[in-house]
Amino acid sequence: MKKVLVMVVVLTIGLTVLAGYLFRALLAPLLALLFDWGILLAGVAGLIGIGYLIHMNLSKLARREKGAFFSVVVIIAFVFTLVSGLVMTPQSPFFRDLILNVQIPVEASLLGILAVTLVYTSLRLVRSRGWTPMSIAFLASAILSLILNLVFINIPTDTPLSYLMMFIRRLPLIGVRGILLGMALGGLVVGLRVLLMIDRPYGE
Amino acid sequence: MTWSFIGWVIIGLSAGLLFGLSFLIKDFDIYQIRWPAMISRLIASRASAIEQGKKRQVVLGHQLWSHTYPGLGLHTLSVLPDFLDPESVVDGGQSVSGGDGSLVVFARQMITGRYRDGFSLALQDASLESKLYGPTPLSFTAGFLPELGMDPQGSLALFGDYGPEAALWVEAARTRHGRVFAAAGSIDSQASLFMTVPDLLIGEEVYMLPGLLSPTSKNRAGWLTEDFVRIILILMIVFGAILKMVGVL
Amino acid sequence: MILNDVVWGVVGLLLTIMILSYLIGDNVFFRLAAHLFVGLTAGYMAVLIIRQILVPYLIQPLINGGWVERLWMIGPLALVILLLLSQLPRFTSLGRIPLAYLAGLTAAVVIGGAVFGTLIPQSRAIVEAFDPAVWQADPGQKWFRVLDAVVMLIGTVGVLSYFHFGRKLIPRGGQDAIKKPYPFEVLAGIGQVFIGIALGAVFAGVFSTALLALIDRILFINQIILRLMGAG
Repeated sequence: MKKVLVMVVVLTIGLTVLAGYLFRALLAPLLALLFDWGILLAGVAGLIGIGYLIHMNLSKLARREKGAFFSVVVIIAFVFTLVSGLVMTPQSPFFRDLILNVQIPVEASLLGILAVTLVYTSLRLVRSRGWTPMSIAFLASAILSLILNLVFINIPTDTPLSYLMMFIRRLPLIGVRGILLGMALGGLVVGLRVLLMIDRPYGE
Repeated sequence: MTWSFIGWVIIGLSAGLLFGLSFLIKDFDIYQIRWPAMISRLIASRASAIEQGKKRQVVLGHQLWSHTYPGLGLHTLSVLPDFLDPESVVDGGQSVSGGDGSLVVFARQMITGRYRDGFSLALQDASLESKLYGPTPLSFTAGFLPELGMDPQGSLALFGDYGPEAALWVEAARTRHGRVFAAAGSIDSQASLFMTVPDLLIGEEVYMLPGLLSPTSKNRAGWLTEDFVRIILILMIVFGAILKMVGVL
Repeated sequence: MILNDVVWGVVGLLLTIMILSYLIGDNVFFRLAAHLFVGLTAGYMAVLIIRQILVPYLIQPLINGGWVERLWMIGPLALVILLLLSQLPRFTSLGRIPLAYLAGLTAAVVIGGAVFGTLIPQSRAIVEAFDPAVWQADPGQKWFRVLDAVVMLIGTVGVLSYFHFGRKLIPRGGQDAIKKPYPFEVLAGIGQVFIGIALGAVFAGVFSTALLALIDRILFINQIILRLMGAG
């Protein structure tokens, strides 16, 4: 019985939303309702996910696992931010300062570490991939793009050189377009597999 | 004939073919695909990690759905069951994590389902709950890097939709002697990992999984459908360009 | 310099140095800053979800809505309750229905997005590039536009061929097990060059962004230290 109900839910919701691409105006109010419910469910799932994070840290603390001290930091930071955000509004100056003055330094610094990591991992390219047409194209394109990104080159407009430059700048778009088309093909089949119940991410 | 009509024809053809090959033909196994050697290495590295009692990390990405890569979130969930076989889940070394609430809730449902079917819920190892190390890509990274540094890592398998920050996870796992396999999600992550991960599935290749891990007839049906639609798409683009050039379209 | 700025400046400085210390290896300072960030982000996301999703989509209609609106809320309320209950080990199976809802919705959006958001617009852009009217629009650029369209077509078909899953129908040796059928193999040779070019350019973009972030952090450290010393 439960299996049938699950099947009915997947098919009804999936086919209705798909039909919405065809009869947009007609189904607009119903689609808005379905999406609102979906947003609500995704939000609750988000909260449950955060619950897992806190539960994981509380368990570490209870079991006195290695690094349990850091779990205390996570829990204190979480509770402090949650209470501040609920008592004040997210727009209040203190709350905004709290978020931005932690978020920006940490995120920018993580990106900074990424820059350094990318530099020294790039030295492994040839060793890990060998000299293939793809790795040569990658290396040439990366170096050329870095030069074009970081160095200002003044080329007069409407000259053969400017057209060549435009052509070179557009070359990466071809690969990107092909990759996106391929990913869309994969997405189409994956979506159909869920609607046809070949894949059942909600459980057997 | 409008472009929208062509879109519906593509959807209809794909659905019909997938349905026919999956449900109407029994034991559809004639379609053979190329077998990347990296899959054998992934399987071997996981087996060796189990033997050595090392950690095996599976990352499901940061999003269930995104506009640029719509299918990656669902795809990652179709790969997960292949990592939940009894050998993998029984020793407590397996870890499943994601950066999105919906993804980890789905993953938890699958994990408990496996335990309910295979063993008993009472036997479920607490370490095999799906984990969310942080709710945004960089907070996930901040939570995941210390975790990777904690124990010796056997393997790190990356699936789904994630960004260039994955290069940091890879380096952290490497430092702890972990072997990395990545089915790269976004183009940013493909570019960042191209340099450093030899076992890397790029672009649409990621959709060869989960069939490569369990080549069932339904997975073969998916491969054939995708290849068939690819040929239709290529022909459509080529003939469309010719017709446009001669002024018919 | 206002006290508030000083305090937050010092917090930012400390966090920056603690995170950057990861460059010399995983250490206690990095872990402290990373865990603080995780807790804060989790709290912030929880606040956003409560204030921007739960309140307007569930609580507000239930409290302030008319009876028809409240009646409509039975559906989502039931789904939410089932999802929450499914987190208890005994009721896990109840989660199937709300998750089936999410899966069905996501699958349909994925199909629509893939076909009408990517396949059709991207294919159309390639075909439109072969419009003679576009070529003639600027006579000075005619041959450039023709070349651009032809390379775009060959490159895209090449990339799509590179991803072809099927292998040679009649493999004759070990290597043939990883090779595509002949026409795809030839086109894939062209395609892999375009994939390399695309990934190289994207890599340069990612690296430039990360490098700018690193430079920004170095300038920030410099600026705060100068300020604290009274020179800024």
